[in-house]
Amino acid sequence: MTKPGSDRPAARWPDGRVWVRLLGVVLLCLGSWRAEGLEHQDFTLNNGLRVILVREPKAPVAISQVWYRVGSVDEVEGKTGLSHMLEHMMFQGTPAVPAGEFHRLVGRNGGENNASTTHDATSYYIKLAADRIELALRLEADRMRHLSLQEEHFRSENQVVQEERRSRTDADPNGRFLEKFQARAYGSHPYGRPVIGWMTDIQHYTVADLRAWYQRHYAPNNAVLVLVGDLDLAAMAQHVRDHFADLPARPDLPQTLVSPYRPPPLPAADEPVGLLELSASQRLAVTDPGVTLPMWYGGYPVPTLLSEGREDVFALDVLATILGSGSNSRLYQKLVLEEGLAVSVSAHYGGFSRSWELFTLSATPKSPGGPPAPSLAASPEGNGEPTLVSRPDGAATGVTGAAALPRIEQAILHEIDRLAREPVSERELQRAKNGMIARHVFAHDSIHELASAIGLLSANGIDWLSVVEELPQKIEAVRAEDVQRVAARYLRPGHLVVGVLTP
Amino acid sequence: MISRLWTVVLAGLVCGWAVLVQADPMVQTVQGPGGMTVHLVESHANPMVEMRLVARGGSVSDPPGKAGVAYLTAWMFNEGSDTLDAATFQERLEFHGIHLDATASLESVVVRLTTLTGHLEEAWSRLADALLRPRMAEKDFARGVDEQRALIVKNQEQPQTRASLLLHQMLYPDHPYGRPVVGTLEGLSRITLADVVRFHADTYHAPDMVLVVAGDMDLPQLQAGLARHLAGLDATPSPRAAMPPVPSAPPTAPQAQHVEMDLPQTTLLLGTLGIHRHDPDYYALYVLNQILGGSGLNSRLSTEIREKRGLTYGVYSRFVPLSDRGPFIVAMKTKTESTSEALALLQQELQRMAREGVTETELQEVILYLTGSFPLHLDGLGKLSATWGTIGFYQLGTDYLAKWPDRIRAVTREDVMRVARRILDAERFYTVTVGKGR
Repeated sequence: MTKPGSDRPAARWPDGRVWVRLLGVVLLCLGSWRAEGLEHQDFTLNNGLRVILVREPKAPVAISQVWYRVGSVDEVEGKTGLSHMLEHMMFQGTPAVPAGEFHRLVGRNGGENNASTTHDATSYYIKLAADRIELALRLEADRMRHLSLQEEHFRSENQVVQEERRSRTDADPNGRFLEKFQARAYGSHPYGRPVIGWMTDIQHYTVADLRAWYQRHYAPNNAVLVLVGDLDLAAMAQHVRDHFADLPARPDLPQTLVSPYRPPPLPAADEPVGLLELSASQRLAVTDPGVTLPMWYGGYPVPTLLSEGREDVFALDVLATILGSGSNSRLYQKLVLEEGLAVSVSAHYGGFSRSWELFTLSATPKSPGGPPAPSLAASPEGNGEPTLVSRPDGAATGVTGAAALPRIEQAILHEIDRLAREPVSERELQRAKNGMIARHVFAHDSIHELASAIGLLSANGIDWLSVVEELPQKIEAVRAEDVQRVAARYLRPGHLVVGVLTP
Repeated sequence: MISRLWTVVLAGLVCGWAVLVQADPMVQTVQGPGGMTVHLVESHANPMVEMRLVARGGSVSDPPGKAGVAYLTAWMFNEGSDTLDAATFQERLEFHGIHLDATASLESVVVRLTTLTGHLEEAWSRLADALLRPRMAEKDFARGVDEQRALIVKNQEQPQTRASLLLHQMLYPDHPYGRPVVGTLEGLSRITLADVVRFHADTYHAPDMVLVVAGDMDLPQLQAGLARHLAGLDATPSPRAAMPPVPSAPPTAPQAQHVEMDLPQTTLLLGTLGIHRHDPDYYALYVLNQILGGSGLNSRLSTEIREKRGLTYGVYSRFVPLSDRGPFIVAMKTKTESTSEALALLQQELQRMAREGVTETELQEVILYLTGSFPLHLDGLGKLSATWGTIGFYQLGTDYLAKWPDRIRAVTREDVMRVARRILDAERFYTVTVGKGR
């Protein structure tokens, strides 16, 4: 997050989720459209640097990405956000490339670059015309082990990071709320801490903290280098060796241990699946005078490919689509079309984090002040086609704003309960899969997204190639009973954390 | 009138472009039904097609007192056809994995369609439905109004949105460029379904439309699709009156306005009238803007305000060249206590540019950057179709991309100085601050 605009707002949870979903999107598409597989090389240098090169000659451009396996999950209380602060400092100079020179060199060569930090990793990219990509190797190899970390640059850049936190979080009621929600929903898990760090922590880092963090985590054996584009792979592999092979490995790489995720057992046959009263500890209510329209959020702990319960990841992905993606989704049909309670709804799930994740839901109620909505039942739609049968009570009574939140919650829980009790129809299931697979093809419109997918999976320890090539089949293999099973297993009222943000 | 230019024109433009000449798709321009301009950007690397249809008729065409009609009409674009109600229409799109929607901006509405090649026939059918046979049901209209009202209300939380709305009002008090694209609560309350029906009918006239088709399709397929599905397009020009010209200067002298919000950070937005899209100084201003506050962290504003002083996470300048004079703006956020210092620095940099222009080193470096990064902007069907949509909409010529690098290279220090004097006089900047008291 060194400059605004193109960064991944890892400090803010919904955007992060969107990004992770997008990643899934890229993965699927590759497997689906290129049966013969990607033309690639995947090898590890003697110093432990993992190198993945992919030839993608659609346009005469290439991207370099370096992923370090260090993120906010590796941090400790009191030093939250240190990984992100170091990400900023990675642009502040080495003996060979002094501060300011990095951006100048990339700019003179027509390149673009940025970086981002998430819970799990810190990544850097440089995009260039393909015949200039060696510049990226030179710059990345240099700063992998030779960062200067000078006091004067740190002081100034620390102010920048404080401003970044103000922009993203402190001056945005939604940002403030999501930080609290994440802290509540993840509890003591490190994912509950903001990626950008608490402001008091940011204000108290020292250069010594950063130097220690850099020494600890920045080494070839804690990194993945990904190059995608119009490349000659053999020549590129040699360039990579020329620039990186002499960097020393770090023998004592730290390993962060997070408490393992235990998937809940399947509910007993007579266990009430939904519609229970939530306990007080499951609720977070935030009142913020900066808010103009309330929001409803919900999150359930769910597994990823790296935790127990990994066999349920793809069914959960399909479930998220059926629940909350687009106007055909269950939640849109119920809350927006039938009940007229909300203007928008969504469901998000990733599945690739180093630890467990949240399966999240959100809804925005109608804004008060509009004219009474027309009775839906009275609309003439008499052409014999399947139309929505509308219950007039929601729309006609015009429940809006914060007053709608209890009914929104009730309707969401009702829909989840239905999914846990009844299998979805074949048409609905196939529609969700078709939409997912198509979006995955579309998302592969740029080498950037492919490189990001490979980098994230590899940094997290997932076999990127097997995921890339097999994901479409895995999505296609999800059956209606799988969707029902994972809804019943994971989306249980006892596991839900609800947050509401009101003016 | 087919022009096959791509293969010939790009040779030797930029170091390293020899590859592109072979790898790049051909762009072909044809006349579509009713006189619609159609650009085909062939690329068979992915089994997908991306279409952008750009039509004249954004919020500048909102009827008096009904700000928000263009936005609402675009929202209604994928809400069904004469034979398919909205739910059925959307279900069929999703079942085939087709994305179809429309978005209004100030001067145009952009329809975006993305489909797998295998579902092209379904995609053409739904596009034609939406253009020629929109359902326009009252209940869907009511839902659109609800969503738009929520958006207008939610936007009030965002300091940058509020600053931008206010600055536009200050720069264009009596011109449609000053109205918010999403409309106002007041305007929205007056809009009826009939307004939307009329707006749709007035927008989609073939002579006022450009269609870009990028991806896995060839010319015969394109022409067959156009003939089969869009032959019914209205061939007459839109009956709308022309937009009134932007006054040469806003009626009030430059001023500063403040919006009070209880935030730890002040949003600063400075703006003046920029240029229109066909201004001969377009390239000079493009270069100037990149040096002053363009993308990346090399700009003067970024160097002075972020890198040297740590006063902001991001500071930038931007100009929006429209059919008439769009705004030139400078924007940043900083902690409340630094507001005055930041404002002074912004004004100082504007003055320095207006007085001194740029150095030869700055000019040469930025030309290297802009010409060198040119291929990065054409990587992917989304970027290609968006670029060709702009070329078509503003009639920039099918040789626009081919000539672009040379036109950037031709910019001199004198050109930059001239446009700096003309546009960047700090005395003509309007200022908005949003945050805690002064």
